[in-house]
Amino acid sequence: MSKFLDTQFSISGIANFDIGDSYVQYNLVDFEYFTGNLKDPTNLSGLYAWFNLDDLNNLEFDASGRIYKWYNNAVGHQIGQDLNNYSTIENRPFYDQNKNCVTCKSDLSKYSVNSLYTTGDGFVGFLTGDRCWFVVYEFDDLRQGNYGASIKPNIATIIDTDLYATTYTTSGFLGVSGNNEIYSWNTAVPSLSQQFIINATGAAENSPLNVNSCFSASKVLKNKNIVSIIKNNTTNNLRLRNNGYELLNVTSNHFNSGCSGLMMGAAQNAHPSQNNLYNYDASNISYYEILGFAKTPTDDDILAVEKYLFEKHFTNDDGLYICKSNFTVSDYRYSPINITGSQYLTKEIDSVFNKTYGCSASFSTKAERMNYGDNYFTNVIPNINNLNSQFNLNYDGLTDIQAKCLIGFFQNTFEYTPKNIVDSYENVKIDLFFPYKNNSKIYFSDLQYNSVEANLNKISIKCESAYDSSLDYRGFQVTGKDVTSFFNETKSYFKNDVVYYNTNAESQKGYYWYTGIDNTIPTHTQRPSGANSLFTRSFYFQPELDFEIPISPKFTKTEFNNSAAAYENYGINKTNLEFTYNLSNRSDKETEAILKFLDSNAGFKIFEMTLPAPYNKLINVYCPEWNHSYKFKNNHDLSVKFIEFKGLTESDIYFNTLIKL
Amino acid sequence: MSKFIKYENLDFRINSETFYSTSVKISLRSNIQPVLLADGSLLRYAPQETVVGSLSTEFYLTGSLPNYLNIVNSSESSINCSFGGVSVQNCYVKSINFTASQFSPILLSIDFDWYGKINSVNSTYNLTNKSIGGPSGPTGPAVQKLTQISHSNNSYISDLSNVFGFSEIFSYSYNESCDRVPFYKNGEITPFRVAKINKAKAVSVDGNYFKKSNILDIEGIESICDIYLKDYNNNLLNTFSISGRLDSRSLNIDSNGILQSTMAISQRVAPLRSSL
Repeated sequence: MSKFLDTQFSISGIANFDIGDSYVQYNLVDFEYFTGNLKDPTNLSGLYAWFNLDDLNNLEFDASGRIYKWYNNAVGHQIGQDLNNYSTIENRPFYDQNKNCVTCKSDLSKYSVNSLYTTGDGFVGFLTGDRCWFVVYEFDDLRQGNYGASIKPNIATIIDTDLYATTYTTSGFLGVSGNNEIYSWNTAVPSLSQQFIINATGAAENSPLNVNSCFSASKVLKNKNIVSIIKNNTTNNLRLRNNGYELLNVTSNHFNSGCSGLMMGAAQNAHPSQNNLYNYDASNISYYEILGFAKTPTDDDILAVEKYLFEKHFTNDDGLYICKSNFTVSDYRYSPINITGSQYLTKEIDSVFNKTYGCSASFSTKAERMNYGDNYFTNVIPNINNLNSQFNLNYDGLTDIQAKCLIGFFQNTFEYTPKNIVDSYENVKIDLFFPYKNNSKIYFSDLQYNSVEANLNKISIKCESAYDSSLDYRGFQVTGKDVTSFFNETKSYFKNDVVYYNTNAESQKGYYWYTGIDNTIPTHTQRPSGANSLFTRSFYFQPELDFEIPISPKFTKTEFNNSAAAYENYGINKTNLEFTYNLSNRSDKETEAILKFLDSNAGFKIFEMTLPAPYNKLINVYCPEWNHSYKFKNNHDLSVKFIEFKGLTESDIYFNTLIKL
Repeated sequence: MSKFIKYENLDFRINSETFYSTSVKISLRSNIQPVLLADGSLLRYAPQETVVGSLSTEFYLTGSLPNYLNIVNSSESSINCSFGGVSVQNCYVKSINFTASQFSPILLSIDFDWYGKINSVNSTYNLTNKSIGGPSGPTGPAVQKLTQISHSNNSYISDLSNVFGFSEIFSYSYNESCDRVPFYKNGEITPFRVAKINKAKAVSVDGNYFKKSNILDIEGIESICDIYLKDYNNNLLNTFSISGRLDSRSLNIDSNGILQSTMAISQRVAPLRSSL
């Protein structure tokens, strides 16, 4: 087990990730980045470069908030061995407080790239020969290099240590290059994939140099990477490791003693000068930590330092994974943080399990009702996120091994390391179901397991949305493109279309629902604010034929000991309706429109509705709670509770204060 | 003038293997419900389930029963059926039964649910009695004769637990069945799994008077029997086994008939969960 205790699980048989072991689909695999202890960089001799973000004081910011210095934290380093950028502001990188990293961007329109670099002599004189670099970085994207006379593969720099090279030029460079969606120059890597390159000359043209490792990195590059460069200057041996897997082990002049500076940032590939034309295909890159040692560490030391970086920067990338298909771990490429392993091991249950019909959602307001006389009241909203939402995710038709896997995954989510100081465990990213958000951040609350028959199981998981806010202009949970588009006066509309009407008149701004005939382009007067508008903000959806609207008037009953009770009128508003509509068997479109209506009214806003016959009266209501069940394709059940609200409009405000003498 | 198609023989195939089928029926139904609104208007007809089809066929077995027609095993995968220029995809077998009575060929009957599509296919197979792979079934001889179809002449039922008590068996029937339950991913109408539940076997036997005293118990009577299904030439085609409980008996006689006794054995097939 890695970081958790076996006692937290109600299931058995969780496998450890080990080289040589085989796993079958739906196995739960506990991944730990090597099993040895980590080693703090200060406990390893030869540390000459240590750029970390443990303390924001390690950075210096200019007046615009950009970084012009990243201090070297290695003991005994010289001023010239800090990373600097004293050039124009637009060439300086940013600090990303959400990810705690230094982000270098490139801007083709300004022909600018962000970078930091040592000045003066760099590490010349400090290094005697052997060296190694450990870099934790992340590419935000990988652009195509289609600038210049012809389309060329991109080249994106990770580090460049050649700044002050004297013996060998162009030999201390590490970057990536490869194919894009337009063309594949390098047949050694798949389309859209990248490979690491340590010699940018002719990097990923038709015949890449042998020294460039053919390692498809495109998917992993979307995530954080630990890249380790180990150079033995005596034997000229060069090793390149990525996320624990050794990509390259060759005799090579690259990264030899002549390469003693350090530049990090987006491209600016000064060497291969012939590539200047498409320097600006540079990809945005972020750095989390950089370590440099003037030695060739032992294998154990390499693992220990890599583990130090992994534990520090790869939050929740260890622990329990789900096996997507059968495989055998022949080497560390199969770890889930590498591209090969990521094809077999995942933490995303949406890619492994099917949510089935029967998923449901319930919403309720946190509003507190404050009662006044005469049946008047007001809703007090206690906080800015007024709505409670709870989802019930249905996983039916599971085999035994699938059920076990899902139960284990569920229990493991309570072990995720938090990314903020408020929670003690991290939320789960999951796709909800139609018409709710995808990639929603939820917390599981409970799991209901039902055994149907041998090898047939059903699991329902309740979960809560913690971070969604009804203050979001797109809405709370129903935020799809279909229901958040602006009104377009040239577009044809169909019944139950939802538009956002943006106008200078504040009272007319907001969501509207189209109630006219299908396939109509509204005229000027039929637009949302028009005199003959085909749009409404009233609740126009009709309930089932067998609806119920009970009437329970308030009155005062005074009991006497020795007499009959006295009945007295309760003020001027005796009746406040409180009723529930059942809207069953509704189509996807109508359901989305209804839920958008309720979502946008956030559980407390007052809106109009006309009661069905025999009432036929326009009243003001609000909806404090509603439920939705996804029954079958294009078939949904909803139940919506309404409470009548008096006193909103002038016509309803009636004070019986006439004094008769 | 209208055109009619007359099938002299049915070119019925399962997974491209030809069966000597005497009849095939397919049907399909959608499950919809009218939605009436408060003002009395009809909003729509709402789908409650996907379009479910049923397919049933009767055929003579001429070789061993293919594994995909085994009802009670763990395989839940679908098969494709085709006949008369129609191909039906994603069929899920749910029952098989047959009856053996004296001097009669044995006709097996199978029922399927299906959730797929119907496609038109060429049906150009030459279904002559000699060339048909059909009567031969999937694994039977290449050139088939009607003497090689499943027949009660040499087929028999073996009362291994000695509970029948008949001296003469007039006929017997065998049934294997299960319920198929489809599961759909949200937004889909084709199931990702059609599980087998309630797997059961049943045998009923007609015979003469049972010469036993203790003929039934409150927990039934343990009964194990095998049915050896053979062709007319005494070649064994398939063996069917049941290990269940004898749970009913009856005795019938009328003025124009003979005294006849019937008994039934049922078995709930209970596969163990695998130890994970």
